Amino acid sequence: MALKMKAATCNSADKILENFIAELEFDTCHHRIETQDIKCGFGLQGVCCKLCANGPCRITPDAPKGVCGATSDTIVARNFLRAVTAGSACYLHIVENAAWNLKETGEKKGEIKGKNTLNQLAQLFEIDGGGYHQKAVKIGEKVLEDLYKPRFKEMELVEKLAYEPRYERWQELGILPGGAKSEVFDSLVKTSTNLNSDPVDMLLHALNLGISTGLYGLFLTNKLNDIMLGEPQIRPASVGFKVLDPDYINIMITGHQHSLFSHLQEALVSYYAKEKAKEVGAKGFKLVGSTCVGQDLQLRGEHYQDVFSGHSGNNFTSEALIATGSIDLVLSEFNCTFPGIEPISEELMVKMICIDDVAKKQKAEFVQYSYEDRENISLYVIEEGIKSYKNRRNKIKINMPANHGNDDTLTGISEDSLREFLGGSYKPLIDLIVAGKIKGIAGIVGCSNLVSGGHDVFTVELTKELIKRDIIVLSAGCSSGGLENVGLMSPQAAALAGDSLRSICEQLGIPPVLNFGPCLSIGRLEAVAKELARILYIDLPQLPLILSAPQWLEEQALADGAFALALGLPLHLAKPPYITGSKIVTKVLTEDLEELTGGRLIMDDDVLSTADKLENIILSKRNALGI
Amino acid sequence: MKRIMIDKDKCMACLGCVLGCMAEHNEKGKSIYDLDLEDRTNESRNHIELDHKQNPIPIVCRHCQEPECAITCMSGAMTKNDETGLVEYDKDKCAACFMCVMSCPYGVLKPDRVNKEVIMKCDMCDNKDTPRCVEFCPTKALYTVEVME
Amino acid sequence: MKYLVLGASAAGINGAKTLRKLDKNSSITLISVDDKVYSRCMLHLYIGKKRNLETLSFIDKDFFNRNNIEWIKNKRVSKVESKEKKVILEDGTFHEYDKLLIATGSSAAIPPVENLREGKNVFTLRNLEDAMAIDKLVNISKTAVVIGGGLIGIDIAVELINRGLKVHIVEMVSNILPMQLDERSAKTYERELMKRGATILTDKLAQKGVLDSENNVVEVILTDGTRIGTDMVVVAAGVRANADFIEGTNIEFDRGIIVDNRCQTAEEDIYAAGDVCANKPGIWPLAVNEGITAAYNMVGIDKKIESSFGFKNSMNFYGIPTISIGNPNPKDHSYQISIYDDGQIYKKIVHKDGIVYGAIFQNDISYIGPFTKIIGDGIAMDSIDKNIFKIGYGDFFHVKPNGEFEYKII
Repeated sequence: MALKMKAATCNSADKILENFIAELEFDTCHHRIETQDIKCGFGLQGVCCKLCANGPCRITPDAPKGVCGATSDTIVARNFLRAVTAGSACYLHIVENAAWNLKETGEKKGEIKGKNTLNQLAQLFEIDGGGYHQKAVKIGEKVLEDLYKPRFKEMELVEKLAYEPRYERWQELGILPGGAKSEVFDSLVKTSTNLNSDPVDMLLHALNLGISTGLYGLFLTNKLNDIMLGEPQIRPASVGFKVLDPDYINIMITGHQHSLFSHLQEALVSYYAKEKAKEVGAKGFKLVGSTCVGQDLQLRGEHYQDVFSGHSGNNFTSEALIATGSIDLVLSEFNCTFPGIEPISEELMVKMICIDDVAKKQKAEFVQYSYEDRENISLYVIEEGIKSYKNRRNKIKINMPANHGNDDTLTGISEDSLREFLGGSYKPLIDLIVAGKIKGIAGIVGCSNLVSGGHDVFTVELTKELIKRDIIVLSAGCSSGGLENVGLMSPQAAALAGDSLRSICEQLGIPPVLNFGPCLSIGRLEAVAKELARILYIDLPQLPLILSAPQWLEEQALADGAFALALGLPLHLAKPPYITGSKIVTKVLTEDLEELTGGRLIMDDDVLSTADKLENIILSKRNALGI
Repeated sequence: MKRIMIDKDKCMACLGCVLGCMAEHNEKGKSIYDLDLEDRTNESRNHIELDHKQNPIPIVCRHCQEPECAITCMSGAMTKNDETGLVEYDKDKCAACFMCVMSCPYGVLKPDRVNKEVIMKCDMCDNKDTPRCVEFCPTKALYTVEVME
Repeated sequence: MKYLVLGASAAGINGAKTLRKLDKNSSITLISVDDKVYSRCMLHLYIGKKRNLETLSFIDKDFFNRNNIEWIKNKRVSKVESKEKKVILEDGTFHEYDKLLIATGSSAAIPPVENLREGKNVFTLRNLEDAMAIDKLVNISKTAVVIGGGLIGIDIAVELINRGLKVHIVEMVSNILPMQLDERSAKTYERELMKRGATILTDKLAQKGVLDSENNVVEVILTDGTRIGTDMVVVAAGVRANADFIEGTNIEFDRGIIVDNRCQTAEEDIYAAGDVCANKPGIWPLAVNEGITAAYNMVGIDKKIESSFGFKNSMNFYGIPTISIGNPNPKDHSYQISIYDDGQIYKKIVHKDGIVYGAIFQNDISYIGPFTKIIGDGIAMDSIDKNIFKIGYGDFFHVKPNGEFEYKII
């Protein structure tokens, strides 16, 4: 008799998920982290360079310089800037596609769901007259024009989008970005073999990239998507694997580009699609949210109640989601689509289609999305969904974890819906902060990773620790995927908050951890911060507000981080971003930056000491404001 | 006794063992992030050589049955502990004569880099279960076994 | 079985310790003139006040107790009666043995230079008593002459300088440390010594000491007529074996006891180890090794000295370590000399037809142990295609099943 051994898998804050994964017969990230547990010390410290044939060079006390003469400072700064550059490029790709989609939606007179947002942006961009479609075209064009500018031409919208005191500071520091794509391009040049060796210059370039990442890649992507796909509205929703209904043909979506599904989400609930589904014995089609684009649908869930079954979890639940057997088709357009889902999909006969080649998966069929072809693509997806369902459902076993997730996660929170919820102004929130009933605000953002205690462990523990101290938590990114599945975004979580925060939450019927959705919504947090600061007549660094991307995962997170630092906010990371091998880079980011932008990096892998540090920052900022 | 075995064919010259050893013996803390890679006082007790065919060879102390380093030691600093099997080094007794460096046929030993006062000698991480060099070896080129002497 | 060991230094102590390791029950007695166990190689550090009586020791405090060894100290052997298997002490008492290990070492000799042997302030450095006497006189001296610029001479000179004395070093060849170094590497230390006020007189011989009325040498006159006024003289020029007591036995002797590679003498059941033996340099590791080897054979376990290569020395003056192996000064032009010299680090390897004959490593001695093995064993390296300074154990790497290393050309 074969013994069924519980495999060695990663810890998770989500115990139901952890146990489910441990019993799986598939290899997942949670398994592989155990076989990748030995990490290279040079990599961890960022002092390995393989930019030339003389490498890889590694810094040791015996070999303090690379063959070329590069010091640890140069090597670390170069590696770091390259990572930020790649991350920035990712977000710029997203906003670029969103802008093209908006422009074409306008040109083809497509549906405009977010008219308020359209008018908001048109006003901000000083677009006068014209109908909705004309405005949409012009907004799309303005964004694209900026993205495509040469590096020596400053992007026009920066001044309109940025908070005024920030804009001035950036101007003084000389980090206002030229054309965003050109900035990315020249950063790659800068960090190539034997070019820039100045760590400070490279760090300033990272801040420059952070600005275009934040204002365009994050903030504008949200706004353009809100125009096309509808504005977020606050509502309770189901989350976790319980959103899966095996009676439907389930299409799992992964990525970051909601607008690429704009047509599909309507087509899947058409009479045609429903009938086709019934023919093969399914009740219809459902989009199952996974990774950030799932959070995007969740955020706009009010508009998609029929087609969207709910958000299942963050990137590190995606393999397990497919392993349930309930997914019939994976439709991907960006990260975080792990290569690890491919063998599981193959084994369970799950069709994979990729609609943007930047995220082309080896085992996926590639169908390039274009606005023009959207109808054909939607039809093809329906056809392949039907085919897959018919082909596989009688051959595979459905294996669902019991009781995973909940039905009352508060979703749909955005800079606008929250203001509306507060009665049309952020004043009530400011009053609570001034009165000390809420000590301050923590943005727990970014990703999920399997280090720092395990899957979402640091994120969840830090969040609990902060709300206990009456600090309200706003979350955006895969962090929220983890926080919602463990129930921290449900109203009952108020019981875990400090007395003061708890009573406010209970009074308002809200959780102490607010779900802003995908990582793109870090841009929404900035919008909230901006509004708070404006009401108080202060600059962002003065706010009793901290950011933490405790379990940052990818290069995009580092670009987000560069934005946070440019905004002048304290930013915590549990795992150092491969910089500790350089004293200059470490010092600039953790100390000197405070003099430049007001921001600084805090690296701490211990939950309690992190919470202490962050709380102290909030207290000292309150102190400085005299509140 | 416990001995660190070496499968040289698995060595990728990543220097993980060297970093692990430096981290373990760093007075400022044992985490890899505590390790200042530009601080010359951080030294490892093992090293990797390239043989004449350019293959990396990890050199880690054997704690020999008949240790030349201990036989040659005139101060009593280097001694074979017959109970644990370890060749132990007491820096307070050492006279820094470096006869042990001269005598180790396997080129394991060296004086410390900065002051040239003590010997860089493997202590099996205080005889803990998994020495840091083994812990840090991603290819399992280093592993421990119990051997009979 | 009754084991008797004579001498309480490197060979005697290690011999006795090994006897006990191999034979848990028999009686072991160790007789020594010394009433303390100390490392003779560190006596200069006593003069330099870097070590005291306690820290000169190379054994644990409870060594004799723990190893159940009877130690009879302060006793000198006057005769070995090999037929009756007993040893007679100067006080007339005697001790029987089944197996005897002679490890009585050697004594420093004062060369036949006029008035040196007579001088009350003339010392050698071999025993703790010498070190104590020198230490006492240093307190009231300002100057010293060290005759002999070999390892011991320089060891002493360095410590006398540390104690504030103005030191003259008299060496008969053209550089100090001639047995171990070449001119280039000796210069390194000569410079350091001179920086600290020492005067180095090379190519010079002491001819005569001038005595004052109290029989103190107050001036040393060299063969070239140089006169050096001094408060004390230390002579470091040669040793002789402490083996007068073997007279009347069949033990063979030629400036030291002659033993085979099992450390056995020509007399049955009598073994000898360490500096008392003939035909090899008196260095610590050889003495230890011989003590251990003798012990194995005394308990009946066959063991041979694998290598009695003794032309190797390490030194560490003023933070500059040097290791010298074999003969770094080639006898003729048939040898190839490879040199690395960056002004700080100096390395020299003397080789011919793939065999290395000598080497010097100065100021970077990391991982150079394999050269001792390569030179000592005459391991051929012609098949190793590599910068000779980068040759290391990696080129001979081979692991035995129990994980120990051995040599194999790969």
